[in-house]
Amino acid sequence: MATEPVLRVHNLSVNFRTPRGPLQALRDVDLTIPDRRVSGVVGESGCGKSTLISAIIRLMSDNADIVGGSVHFQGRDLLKLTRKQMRAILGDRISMVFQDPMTSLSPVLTIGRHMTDIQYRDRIGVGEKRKRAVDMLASVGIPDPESRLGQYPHHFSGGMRQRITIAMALLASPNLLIADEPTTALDATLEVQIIHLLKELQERIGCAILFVSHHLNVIAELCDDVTVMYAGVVVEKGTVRDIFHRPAHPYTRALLKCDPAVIQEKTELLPTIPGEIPDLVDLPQGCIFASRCPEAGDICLEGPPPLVEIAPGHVAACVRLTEGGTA
Amino acid sequence: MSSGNRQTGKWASVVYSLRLLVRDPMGLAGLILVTLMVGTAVFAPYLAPRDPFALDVMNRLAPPSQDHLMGTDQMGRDTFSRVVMGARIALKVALTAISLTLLGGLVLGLAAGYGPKWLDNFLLLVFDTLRSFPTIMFALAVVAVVGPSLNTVILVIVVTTVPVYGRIIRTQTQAIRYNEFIQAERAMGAGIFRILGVHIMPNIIGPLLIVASMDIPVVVTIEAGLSFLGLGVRPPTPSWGSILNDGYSFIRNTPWIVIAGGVPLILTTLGFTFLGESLRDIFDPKLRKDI
Amino acid sequence: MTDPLLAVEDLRVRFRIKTPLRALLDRDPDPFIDAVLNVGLTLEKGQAYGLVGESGSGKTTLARALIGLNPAHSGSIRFEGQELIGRKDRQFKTIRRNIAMMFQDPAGSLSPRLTVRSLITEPFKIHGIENVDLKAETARLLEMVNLGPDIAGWYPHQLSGGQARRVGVARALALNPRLIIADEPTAGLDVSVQGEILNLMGRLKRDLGVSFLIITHNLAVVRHVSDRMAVMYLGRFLEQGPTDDVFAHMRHPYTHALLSAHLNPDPDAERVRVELAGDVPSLIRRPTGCEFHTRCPFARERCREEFPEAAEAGAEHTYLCHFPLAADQP
Repeated sequence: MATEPVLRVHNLSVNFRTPRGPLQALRDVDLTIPDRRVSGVVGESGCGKSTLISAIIRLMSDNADIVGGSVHFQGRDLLKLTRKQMRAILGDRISMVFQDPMTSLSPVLTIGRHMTDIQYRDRIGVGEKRKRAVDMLASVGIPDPESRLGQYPHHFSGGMRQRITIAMALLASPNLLIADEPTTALDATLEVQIIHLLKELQERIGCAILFVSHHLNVIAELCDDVTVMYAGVVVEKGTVRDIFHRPAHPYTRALLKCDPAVIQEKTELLPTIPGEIPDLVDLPQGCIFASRCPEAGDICLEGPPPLVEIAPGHVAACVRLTEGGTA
Repeated sequence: MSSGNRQTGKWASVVYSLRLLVRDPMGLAGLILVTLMVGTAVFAPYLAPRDPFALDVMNRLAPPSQDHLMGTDQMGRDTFSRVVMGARIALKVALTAISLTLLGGLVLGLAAGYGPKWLDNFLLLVFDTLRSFPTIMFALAVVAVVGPSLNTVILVIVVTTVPVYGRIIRTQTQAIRYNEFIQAERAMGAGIFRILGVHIMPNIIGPLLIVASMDIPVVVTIEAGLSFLGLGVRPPTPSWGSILNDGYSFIRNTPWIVIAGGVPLILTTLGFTFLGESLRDIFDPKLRKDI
Repeated sequence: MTDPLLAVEDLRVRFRIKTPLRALLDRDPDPFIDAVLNVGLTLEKGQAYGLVGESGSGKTTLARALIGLNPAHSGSIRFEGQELIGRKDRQFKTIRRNIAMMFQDPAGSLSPRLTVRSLITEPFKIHGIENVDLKAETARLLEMVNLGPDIAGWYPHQLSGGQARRVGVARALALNPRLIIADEPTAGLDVSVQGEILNLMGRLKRDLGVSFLIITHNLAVVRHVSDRMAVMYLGRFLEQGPTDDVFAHMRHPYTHALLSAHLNPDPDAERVRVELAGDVPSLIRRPTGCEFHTRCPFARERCREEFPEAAEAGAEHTYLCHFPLAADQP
């Protein structure tokens, strides 16, 4: 690959302090986002995807410690920056879109205020800022943006507000947009609209996107590359076609199989992944997924399996793959 | 993290909270001072070396000595014994007043927060009216009618602080009443008293008790203030406020009386405030540092 | 023929949006919005009825009206032959023994200071049933929803989403209700657990003969568990009928749009999608004519002016549309 990746997370490990001892929320996570690509991180609750985002943007809760690894953004290690240097990057070269459009806008400020305030770094006049705000609102599909600048967030529906937060995130022309489940709070018909909007804007602006979701289908629709996480580790990584056409890890396969929306024929017995996520304070010896894996055997309990390359750019962490077994 | 504290039961978390409290220097100081104060009050008759009411006219305004640790007052009564007994009065007033306030606040606050809109409006009007009287004026009016006594002090304190608690409880109740678990209880057919008592109250009482513990020193000061002004407890009763009042006239030559009455007042105030603030930090998950 | 378990006819639920004084000052003769309008459905014993719609479609309001949490304005709700409309809150208590409701948020609908044991025995205490062994009942109910007995001492915040949801089901089952209303039973759950809950509901339906009214925005949920279904929009049923028939021959463009909104997990899939423009309109100003015309990709002049008559598409399968999709569509 010719260009340097926008973001390279290397061996990142994060612990939470709890009364029972450290909870190992992330363990040696690797993630690379090439320039102008859309990378998806998918996993269920407790997989560490939100911890990963908060570690990247350095907004972690007080009881979290980064115990190892690095996060390189455009060649600089974000974990080594001062708070001031970090602030200069956030909202300028890295922007965020959050899950809940109902709470991510301040209820007492107008949309116009939101949209001009976010341009505080730019040394241009207010008139110019407003013009840019109007253009950006128009491009995210807010009808009649000029007259809506004076309105407050509660005048807008959930879908419209999420469009506004996307417009705000993109005003700074960031190199990386981090989207944390931006469609989870929306109805399905609006989810489609937002996904298509993100894709269109990404192509136009030419930024990279880190898209985090628990929903495989959204990832399939939008992303170029996919990272699958389970209980704090990366279990599989590859292009979107690798993951959806040739899933190698049993967890990925199970996840693809059990979404009720995928099963077109009416069935009385839907597939599931039985069991619960293991306790991350008291980690099991072997493969983290072994306790719920339908294909687990004695070999899986010996130690955590390394990520092995199955095809160029497609890796998965399962001992069965090196055995020459089921994959 | 959902998989966090799995097996921690009720007792484990109480022990853990206590550990956090002792580890916080402010919490530890508060705990020690409050224990000291409560201990003094409970064991006052055993701790007081002399009869706090016994007059000794020969020994008026005596300076501190081995016989009289804090000297004597203008009637020759032992100041130390009076201060020790005064702790009893202070704690009695504080606990009675705060408990009654909590009770009244709960009843009115829950009614305003969960009841119909008109009741809410009416109770808010009552709260605001009561709040608009200055405490001292109100106290003067009450004393003029029923005369000064310990019960008058308690009545004045309760009436003027119930509105504050009522408002807090009303707001908390309104915040909770539309939560899904309350809707779920209604959908199961639960009656209003069960919803208020089993499902709403346990969720608001914790922060409220902390506010109450921080209000105890306020009440102690009000009692002292009213007694100082002669509106509180009747003269022979050893309240910290009346000790201050007694010493006040002789402050030039015999300052120990004022010091003896003032220092425990300050320490009690600091103790309860420290303890309350430390508890608030521990139980407010947003302020909590390490869980 | 015996009465159906639940029969709703021409139900209307309205909410006041202005105080009487305000309405008088504004000269507004009708200061209400209709959250549910002209709704009718029949649910037989041991069957499941699916109610589909986006947020704001009135599906939760309808469910709450059935157990008297929202007052119904007019129409009829008959449960086991008894009329429910016009009852006072207190008179709903016995009804709430026989109709249990599960709310959306798996953990948020559990009282946070109670243990799992207290939570699932709550219905016994509410209805003053004393001659039961609460400990044995707890074990029985937990087993019914495939939870281990040691979970009985836990608090809601210690449960995972799937566990909390199953505790909710156990609590709903406590008094052997005839009908369980499940509001978004899979919302907030991981996909790997959604199937578990749906399977559990299917099993209870088969083994215990409990009926379900399932409210969801997810058509897939309805497809797998419900026998009959309705698609709701702005408080009305746009299409309703037997689930298999509706999926096989959907006639309303809105039903089709909802189905095609489910993103396909195949990055190379060819996407035939009815995309809806904009948002759900406000109930305060309902669109004229067919109320769906503002978002319908096939809307024509007539749709803007004329309210469509209910049309039959098959046995008990009806829809409200002037220009329905061809009968053999997807």
